[in-house]
Amino acid sequence: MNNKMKGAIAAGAATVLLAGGAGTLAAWNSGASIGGGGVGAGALALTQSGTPNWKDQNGAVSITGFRAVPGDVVTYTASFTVTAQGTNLRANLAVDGATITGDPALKAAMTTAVTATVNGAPLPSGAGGAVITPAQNGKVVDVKVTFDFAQGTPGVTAQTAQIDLSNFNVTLKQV
Amino acid sequence: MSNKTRWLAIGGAAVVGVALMSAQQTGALWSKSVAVDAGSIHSGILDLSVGQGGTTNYPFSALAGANLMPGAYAQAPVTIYNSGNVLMKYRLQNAAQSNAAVPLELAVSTVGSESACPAQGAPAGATQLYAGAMIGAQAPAAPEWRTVQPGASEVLCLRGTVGAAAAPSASTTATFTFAAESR
Repeated sequence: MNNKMKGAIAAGAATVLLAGGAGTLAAWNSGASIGGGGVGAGALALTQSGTPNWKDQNGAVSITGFRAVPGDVVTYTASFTVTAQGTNLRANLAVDGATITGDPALKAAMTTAVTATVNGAPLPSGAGGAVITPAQNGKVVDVKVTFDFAQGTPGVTAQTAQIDLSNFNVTLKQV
Repeated sequence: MSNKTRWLAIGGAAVVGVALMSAQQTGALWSKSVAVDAGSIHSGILDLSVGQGGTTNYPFSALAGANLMPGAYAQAPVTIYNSGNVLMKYRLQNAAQSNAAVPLELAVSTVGSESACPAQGAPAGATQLYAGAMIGAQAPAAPEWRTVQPGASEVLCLRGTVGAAAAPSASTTATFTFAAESR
């Protein structure tokens, strides 16, 4: 069989197949529409609410004029409204530690801890931070960052230094 | 390259492409960050200084005497400054002599001003913190501290008295060491 013959046979087979396909149009057919409803996407958002505040172990402080010494426990509190819509949505609320910058000696002398609460009750925590589910949708989460200046800081270590939180970042991330 | 080899190469590229797409998919999860300007935490400075001008190494030449007989004394005021910006706790931590064979007694009092501590005579309006041997003197005794607000000062009146057992023609210098803490 030469190549021309092979080509002719192939073209013929294709024509038969096409004709076969076209033939189905002539058969009875019927259809019905099904009311499937819409598919709506969820939402994940974080909005700062209220006025953040600073306090030490004795009460409210103005952080601008405050001068920390070993033994002080300084706490920053900010509130955020959470939008968490999605049947199976899970997200982590966390503070980006890289956005807390400043003098290495002062950072080393201070122990930093982050907590997240709703109406005073702590949120369940996972490896990536506090766990947010649709149960927290619309709720206000209080994020507290505590800086514990070690009482045993020796000599003149970490004097006249600062820790900068001017670009402090709170992140809500789907997991 | 044979056709088979080419197909293998293209197949490999497709797998790599899928793998890259798969890796990019993880970045598509929702996330939201809020940046907050929370200000800065500043640590303070603890700085104790003494004497006129407030130095850390003060030659206390006012407290000196020559040809003192047993029972005689030298008396002088010294001002303790809180030159830092946080509350300061301090005490006279220790007193030492260059010649321990010279018996000296020390009395330490707080007074309202340097003029209240004359070279001779009882200091005016004084509150005594210590009276005892010069060597190892501590005023107030640990764990007590005196407290001085930032920028403020306190005047101490020190009196060194020659003991009854002093030998003739003996001399000594005294060194006072002050300690401070922030809380």
